Amino acid sequence: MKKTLWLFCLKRLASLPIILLGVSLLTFFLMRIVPIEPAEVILRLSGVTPTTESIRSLEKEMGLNLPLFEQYWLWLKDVLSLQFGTSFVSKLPVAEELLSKFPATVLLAINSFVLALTISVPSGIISALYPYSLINKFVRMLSIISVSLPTFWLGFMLIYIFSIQLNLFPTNGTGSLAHLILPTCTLAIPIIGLFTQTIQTAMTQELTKPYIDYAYQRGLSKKTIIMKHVLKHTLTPLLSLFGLTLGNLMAGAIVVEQVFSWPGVGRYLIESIINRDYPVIQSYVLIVATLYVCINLCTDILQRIFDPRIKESTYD
Amino acid sequence: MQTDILLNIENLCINIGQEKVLKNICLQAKRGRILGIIGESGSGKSTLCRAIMQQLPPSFQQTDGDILFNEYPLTKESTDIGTAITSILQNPMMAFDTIQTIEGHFFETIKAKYKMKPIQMRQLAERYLEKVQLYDTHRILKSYPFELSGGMLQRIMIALALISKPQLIIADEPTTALDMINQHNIVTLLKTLQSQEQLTILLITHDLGVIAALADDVAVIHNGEIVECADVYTCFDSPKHAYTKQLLEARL
Amino acid sequence: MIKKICLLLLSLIGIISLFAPWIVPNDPYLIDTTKRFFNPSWQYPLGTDHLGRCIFSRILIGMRYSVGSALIIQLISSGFSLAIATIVTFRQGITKKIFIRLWDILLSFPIIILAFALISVFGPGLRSVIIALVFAQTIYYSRIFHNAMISLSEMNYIKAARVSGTTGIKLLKTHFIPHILPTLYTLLSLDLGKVILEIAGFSFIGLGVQAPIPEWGMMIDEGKQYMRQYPALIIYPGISIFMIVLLLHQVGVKKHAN
Repeated sequence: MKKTLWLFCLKRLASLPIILLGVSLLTFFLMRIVPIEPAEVILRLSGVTPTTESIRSLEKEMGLNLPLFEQYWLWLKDVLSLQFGTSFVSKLPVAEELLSKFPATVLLAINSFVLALTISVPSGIISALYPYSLINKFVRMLSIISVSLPTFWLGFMLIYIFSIQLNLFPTNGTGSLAHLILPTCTLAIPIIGLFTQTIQTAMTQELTKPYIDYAYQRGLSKKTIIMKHVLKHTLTPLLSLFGLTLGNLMAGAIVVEQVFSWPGVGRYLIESIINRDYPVIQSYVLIVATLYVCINLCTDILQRIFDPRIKESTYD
Repeated sequence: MQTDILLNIENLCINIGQEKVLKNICLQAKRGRILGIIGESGSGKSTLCRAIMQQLPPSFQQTDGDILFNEYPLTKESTDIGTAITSILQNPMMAFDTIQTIEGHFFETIKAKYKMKPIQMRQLAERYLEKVQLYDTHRILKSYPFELSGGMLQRIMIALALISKPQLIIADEPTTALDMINQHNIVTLLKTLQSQEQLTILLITHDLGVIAALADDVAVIHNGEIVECADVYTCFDSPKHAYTKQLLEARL
Repeated sequence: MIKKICLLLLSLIGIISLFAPWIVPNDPYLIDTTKRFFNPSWQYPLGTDHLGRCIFSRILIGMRYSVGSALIIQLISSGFSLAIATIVTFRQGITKKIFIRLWDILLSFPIIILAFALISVFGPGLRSVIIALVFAQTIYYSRIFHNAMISLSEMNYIKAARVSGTTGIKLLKTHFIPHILPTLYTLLSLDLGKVILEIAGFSFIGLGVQAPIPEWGMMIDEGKQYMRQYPALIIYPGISIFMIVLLLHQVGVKKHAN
C-alpha cells in the first residue's frame, strides 16, 4: 500500500511545476490584454500627460516593446528569484510591500480557519448524532443562514451591535486581541456554515451504512465506532473543501479588511486594482494561486492516505 | 447431549407504529444444535435477527415479549452481544469499513474482549483465518475489504464471529449474496465448524437447501408469525402448516 | 411546505423587480439634501438616505441590478458552458486535450481571485463584474457538464441509441439534454445566491456598480460612514440581500434533495 501512495505523491508533485507554469503564463498574459497601456498608466499616475512619444520611450525603458514571449521569460526569471517588480504607484518593490502586508491577512485567515473548525466540528458531529433533536434543527438553520449572509454586511452588523451599542470591541484598526475578534468572527461565520453542513451531511450518511451495525454486533462501543470509523470517513469530504476554503478566505479577507480597516493585503489589492497597478495585481494573483495549488496538493495526498480507494483517474 | 435452551424468545411483538411486524414469536435455540428459520422476503426474519442483536431502527417498537439468553433478558447494554452472541451478516461486501484493513477489523474485535499485545492479536487472527480455510493470512490481513471477494469476506466474518468463543452465532442469510460454489463452500465450512466447536447457531435464510444441509431444528416464519416449529426431519417429511407445504412444493 | 412558500415569495420578488420602475413611490435617483435621514413614513416607507433619496425606492430598483445581473450571469455562463462541454466531449484530439489541461490550470486558481484579476483588466464597473463572473462560472460549469456528459455517454441507453442509428444533433437533443437539465437546474439555482453575494461584494469594495446606481452592495458602501447615527442605510439593503439569498438557498437545496 505504501508504494502506491509514494507513486501517487510523486505523480502529483511532478505535475506541480507544469500547473504552476500554466498559472504564471495565465497571470502574465492576463495583465497584457489590458485595454490601457501600462506605460500610459504610469505616466498618468506620475501626473504627466502622456504623449505618444513619452509612452514610446517609457515602454522602451521598461522593456515593454520586446516580443511578448521575451517579456514573459524575463518576468519569469525575476519571479523565480523572488523579484516581483516595482509598483507603478509607489515605485517601491512589490515584494517589499506585499511582504509587509501579507502577515496581517494571514493572521486573520488562520484565526478564522481555526475558529471555524473549532465550532463546526463539534456542531456537525452532535447534530448528526441526534438527528431528530432541536439541536439538529437549530444547527441546520444556522448553517443556511450563515452562508446566505453578505460577509461585509455581517461585519457592519457586528460592529454596530458589539462596538457601537455595547462598546465591547474597537471598531477598526489593529493592535490587540480585541481588534482581532470581530474581523475573525465575520470571516469565520460563512465557513462555519459550510463546514458544519458538510460534516453533518457526511456523518448522517455514514451512520446509515451497514458496516456500522456490524461494528456494534462485533461488540465495539459507540464511542469507538464514531471516533475511529465515522470521523475518518467524514474527513475526506471535509479535506476536499480546504482548498476551496482558502480561496474563500482570501476573497473574504479582501472584503473584511475594508470593513474593519484591517491593514492586510486585501486593501492593498483593491487600491492597486483601482489604480491599475499591474505588477501588484499580478504578483498577488501569482502568490495566492501558488498557495492554492500547494494546499490542494497537500489535501489530495492527505485524502489518499485516509481513503485508499481514491484512484488518480482525474490526472492522466 | 445437553438440551439446554440457550436462547428463549417469548411472545415477542414488534410494531412500526400501528403495523404489526412480528406477532407473538416464540422460539427456542437449543445448545449445540442449529435452529434454521426459514421465510420469504418480508416475512419478518431480518427484523427478528435485528431484534435479537438489539439493533432495531428507532421506528421499530418492541411492544411485548422477552428475548432471554441463558435465562437473562437481552438489552442494548448487554455485554453478551459481540462476545457470547456474535453474528454473520448477509452482505459481506458492505459489512466492513472500506478504509480499514482486515487486520484492523480483527484487532478492534479482539480488543473489545481481550487484552493482548499486537503480536498476540496477529497470531490469533491468523489462527482463525486458517480455521475458515483462508491460508494466505499475511496478504489477507494487510488487504482492504474492497480488494477481497465476497466469499473470502464471508469467511472472514465467520472467523470474526468465532474469535470470542461465542455460545451462540446468529447467521443472517450467510449464503444469499454468494454464487453457488461459494454457497456450497460456506455451508460445508459452517457444518464442519459447528461439529468441531460445538456451536449453537441461529440460521436465518430463505433457501430450503441450506436448511436441509445444516439445520437440526426448523421454524417457519410467515407474515411475522411462526407457523411451524419442529426438528428438520419432521418438518420436511410431515409438514403441518399449509404454508410449509407450499414452500416445500415450490422447491422444484 | 417551506419550499412552496419560498418559491412563492421568489416569484413575487421576480414580478416586483420586473415592474419596479412603475411601482416605486419615489424617484430613486432624486437628490434632495433638505430631506436627509428622514424616518420611515408613508411618503418614504423606509426613510431617506444621506442624499435625501428614498431608501425603499432604491432598494426596489436595486433588486433589478442585483438579481437581474446574477440571472444574466448564470444564464450566459450556462449557455457557454453547455456549448463548450458539448464540443469538448464529442471532439477527439487536440481540442480535447487542450481544454482538459486548461481546466486543470484554471481551476487550480481560486476562481474568485481570477474574477478579481479580470475586473482589474477591464476596470471597475458592472460590465466588468459580469464579464469576470461569467468567465469564472463558465470555467467551473463547463467542466462539471463535461464530466456529466462523459458519464452519461457511458450509460447503456445512450449506447443503445447510438447502435440503433441516432447520431449527432438528434442524439444530443433527445437523449443527452433531458438528462443534463436537472444538473443544470441545480447548479443554476444553487449558485444564483452565491453570485448575488459576489456582485454585492464587488460593488461594496468599489469594483462593481458605480454610483448612483442603487445596487445593494453599493448602498451599504455609501451608507457605512453614517453607521453610527443612521444604521438604517446599511440595515435595509443588507437584509434585502440576505433574504433573497436565503430564499434561493432554501429553494435550491430542497430541489437538490429531490
